[in-house]
Amino acid sequence: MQNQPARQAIAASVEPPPDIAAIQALLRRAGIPASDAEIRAAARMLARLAPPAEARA
Amino acid sequence: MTPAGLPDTIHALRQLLANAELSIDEALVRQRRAFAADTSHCAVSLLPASPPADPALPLAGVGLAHKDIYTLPGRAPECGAGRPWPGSPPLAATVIRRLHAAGSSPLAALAMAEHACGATGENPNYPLPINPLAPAAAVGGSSSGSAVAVASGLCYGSLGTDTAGSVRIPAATCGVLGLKPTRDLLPRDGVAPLAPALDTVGIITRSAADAAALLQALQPAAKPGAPVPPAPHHWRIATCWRHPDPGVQADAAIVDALEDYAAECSAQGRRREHRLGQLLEWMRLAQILLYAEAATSHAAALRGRAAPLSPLPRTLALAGAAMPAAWHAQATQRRAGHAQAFLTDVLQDCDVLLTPVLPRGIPDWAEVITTSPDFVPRRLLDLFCWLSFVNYLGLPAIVFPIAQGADGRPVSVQAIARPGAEGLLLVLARQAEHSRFGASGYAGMRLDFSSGG
Repeated sequence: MQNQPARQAIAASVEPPPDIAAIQALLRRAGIPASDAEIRAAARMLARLAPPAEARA
Repeated sequence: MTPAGLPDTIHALRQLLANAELSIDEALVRQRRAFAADTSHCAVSLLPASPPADPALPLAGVGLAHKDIYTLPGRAPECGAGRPWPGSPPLAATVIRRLHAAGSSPLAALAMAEHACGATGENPNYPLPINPLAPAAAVGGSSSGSAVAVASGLCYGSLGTDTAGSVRIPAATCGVLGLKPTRDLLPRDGVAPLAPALDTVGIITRSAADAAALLQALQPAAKPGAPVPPAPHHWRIATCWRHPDPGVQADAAIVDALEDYAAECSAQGRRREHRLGQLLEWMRLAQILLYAEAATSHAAALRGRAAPLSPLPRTLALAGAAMPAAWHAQATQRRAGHAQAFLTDVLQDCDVLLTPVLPRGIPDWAEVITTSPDFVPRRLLDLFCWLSFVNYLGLPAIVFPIAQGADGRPVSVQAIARPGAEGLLLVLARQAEHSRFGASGYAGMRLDFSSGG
């Protein structure tokens, strides 16, 4: 599987899921219009896909 | 016989043509006529006849029809969106040109979930495709039209695409064979992308021999001479019937059917059970790649610079656009290690891993249409819970029917093998067709058992 240095590098690089405000800001910066309902749906999906807490720095 | 009054298999059709009992022109006219008369909503466009192929070519007279995601000669695909794909190249997809070079004739462009996003054939732009096995039964997606056309006998085979199960799901819901080859085995130029890290050109047919004929045409430079496959009953089989998600456990009757099949395959071989403890993590990483890359594939539509997406593809792409870039990088970085670990842990001393495909059988449309009052979210998850991890690992997999459930609908098995072992998977399926497990899928399929195993 992964050797130890690679595991550490991954742990350091993995971010927690963005919250609604962060998603709003990110999409606005990217020029992507989205409704509040769509942003909430994206937040829920990303929360489910977030890396396990132990993998995060 | 097919609705065109022709034999069910490519081999039998070619024999008829070789014996001059039928001309290639007549065979294709009949196949086009059958497509034109069809009412299953599997086709979005019937294609004009092309000049007849050289009769000596291996697929001359063989009508095929493909998911509407491939650039065809002179036609940009609509990808289930009802408008031409703006990125369509001027030249037809390499895989389409290879099938044409082998003599086959394209008959129609087939229905699909919009932009290949969806585990069923539900698409707001088109009517629901009708499952030839039972009208109430759902048709999986996203290559829904491909499975319906093949199961209805309207064509001898179809190319679909498989990003998270999109060939294998529809094949299993229609009781036909679905092959997802090794990642990057077949070229994807001229194929509209969803998530390039996962997208795979796949094959749907009624029999393993037909799939082998198409695969051979798709790989003209491939050299025969694969290792000798195991004889019937001599397979070294790994099995995993229990999903780590307790919400998607297989029904006891389905496990019994799979167990019966695995026991017979390995009666004089070897049998090992696995837990696949990492399966949920592989599924999560597959979804990360899918969402992030869908955002890239549909960036122009998200920004309002191209025609808008319908809700499902837009939801996936939006989540991908909002995803931290490090997640995608992590999934990409860990992928090779996970694939190697799978090969070492599961397939080191086994030929294939067998898993369920649809753990609770083929759902009704009413259970998986998202706007239906009887919608059951878990039934939708059932459709891909055993499949998407295979795309993440990049391995070849095949699904084919091995039993009939109490509801009369087929029960399929998934077999997963090492990279490049498509031939092995097709032998496994062929042996099943010629055993007591055969003829349990597509209602019209009754193979000639005297033709040998």
